Amino acid sequence: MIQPLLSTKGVSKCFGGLKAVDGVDFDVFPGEILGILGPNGAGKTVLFNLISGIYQPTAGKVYFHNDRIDGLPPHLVARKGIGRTFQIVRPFATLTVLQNLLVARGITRYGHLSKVWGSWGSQSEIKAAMEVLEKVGLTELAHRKAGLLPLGNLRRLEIARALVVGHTLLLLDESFSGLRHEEILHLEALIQKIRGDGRTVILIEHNMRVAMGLCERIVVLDHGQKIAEGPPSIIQQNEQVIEAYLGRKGITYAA
Amino acid sequence: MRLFIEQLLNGIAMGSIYALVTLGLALVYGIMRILHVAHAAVFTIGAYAGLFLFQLTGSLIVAFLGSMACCALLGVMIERFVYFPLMKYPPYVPLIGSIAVMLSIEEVCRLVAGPYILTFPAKLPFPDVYLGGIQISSTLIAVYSITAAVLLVLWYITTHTELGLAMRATSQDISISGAMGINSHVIITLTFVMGSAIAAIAGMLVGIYYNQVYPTMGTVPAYKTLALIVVGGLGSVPGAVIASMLLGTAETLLIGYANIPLPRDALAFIAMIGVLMWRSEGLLGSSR
Repeated sequence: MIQPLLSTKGVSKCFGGLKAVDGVDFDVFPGEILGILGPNGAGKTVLFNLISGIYQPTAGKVYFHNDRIDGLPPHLVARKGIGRTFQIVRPFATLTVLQNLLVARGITRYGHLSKVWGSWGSQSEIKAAMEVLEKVGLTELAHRKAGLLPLGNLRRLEIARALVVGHTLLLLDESFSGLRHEEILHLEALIQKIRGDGRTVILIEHNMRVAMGLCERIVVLDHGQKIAEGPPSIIQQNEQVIEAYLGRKGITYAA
Repeated sequence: MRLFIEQLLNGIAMGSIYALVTLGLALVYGIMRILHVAHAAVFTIGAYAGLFLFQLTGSLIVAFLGSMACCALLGVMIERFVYFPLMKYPPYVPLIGSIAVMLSIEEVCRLVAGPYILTFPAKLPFPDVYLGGIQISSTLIAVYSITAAVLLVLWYITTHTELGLAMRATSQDISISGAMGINSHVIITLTFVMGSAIAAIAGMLVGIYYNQVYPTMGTVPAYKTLALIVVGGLGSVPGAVIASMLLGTAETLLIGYANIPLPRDALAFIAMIGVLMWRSEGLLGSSR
């Protein structure tokens, strides 16, 4: 049997009396694209925050490569090889696109105070960053201030920033929201390409069509609990999922 | 003309000292969004520690280095024991904490060293310079050269080293930098170390320049630097330096020439209110 790359065992997070994530178990296997679906407030982003160390779980465990990573602060989770993007794009606005990537490239040195006094942007660093920019299609914009880019490019920048480090697992939080149709197509192709490089991707997605087309397996959350898990074709037929998405009765439109 | 040049030289020195104190405040604000009022008390401790070490060893170098180390430690302690636990509350809570720390340190100075003005009888190891009949005292030269060196080192660190890039990233977005593997706590600690060590230099320079060290010497700098970081554009380090230089020069020239029956600090604040009415986001601030 294949070892999972990441697995959560009964992770829960309470905010006061509210259980935002409630005993969620799931595994991600190397090289797959896993989708996390669910209506607004289902706990998807909280789950990402639990994995990436922004929140500490109230209960449960998170394993990455068989190491426990719950309770680690975000910078240590990142150094273990988990990259993430955020639902609201947050570039370092006053740095250039290239510098945004170079900041991320420092990840292997930030743990050693003696190594960060050297200058950033050696030739090899810049080369590695430019390669990633080419992959995501931002080469021409390398020297622009990131704060000036339109949304579609910012999403690419976020992914590039997560890619440039060579993370093995990428968590993408609603990377498709707010994009135009052709931008969606580009991004889908990019994610396929990233997976082709041997990385594993978990993505939170609101857009059913995108999620169904891209993911091999889908985990559906509702009210913090996992209500379904499986390949898209089965998820689409699942009564509970349809109910969670469409409401109990009478409501005939989807999100 | 000669008077004008002498006033100008004094004004630049004044501005340099303001800049050294304001720098720390701007750095801390940039990274933690806290108004670090107690920074002025770190400046006072810098003067006292420097004076004490100078009397003990007779060496200015030891005094400078020792005072910088002492203030760096004090700054880090303020961050660890006051700001860090208070960060989860609204920003006025750490601000009140900061004011409390500032007053406590002033009182400690008064209790330990007495409520008097102490003199700082340091003799600088180089002579005065005469340029075209104008005397530039060795103290002024020390102020200029040390400020220039500090600014240069700081500029180099922030723009050319990976640490500087990480600091800039952290000041823009702490949680994203975390996702990039940057340990924000280390960056915050280093920021306090740098800012506080620079404040120590400023404290000693003021002590030597005016030949005075006293417990409340940080009070006026406390509110003046606070206003200066606002005028410079909150969180903008270059803005803070420019605002400090302009203010130091302007207030010294005004005192020397205009016969206005207002104290120096009142003039300074009137000037700063004027700037803010003209540009509410500050000289180099961005409206965010």
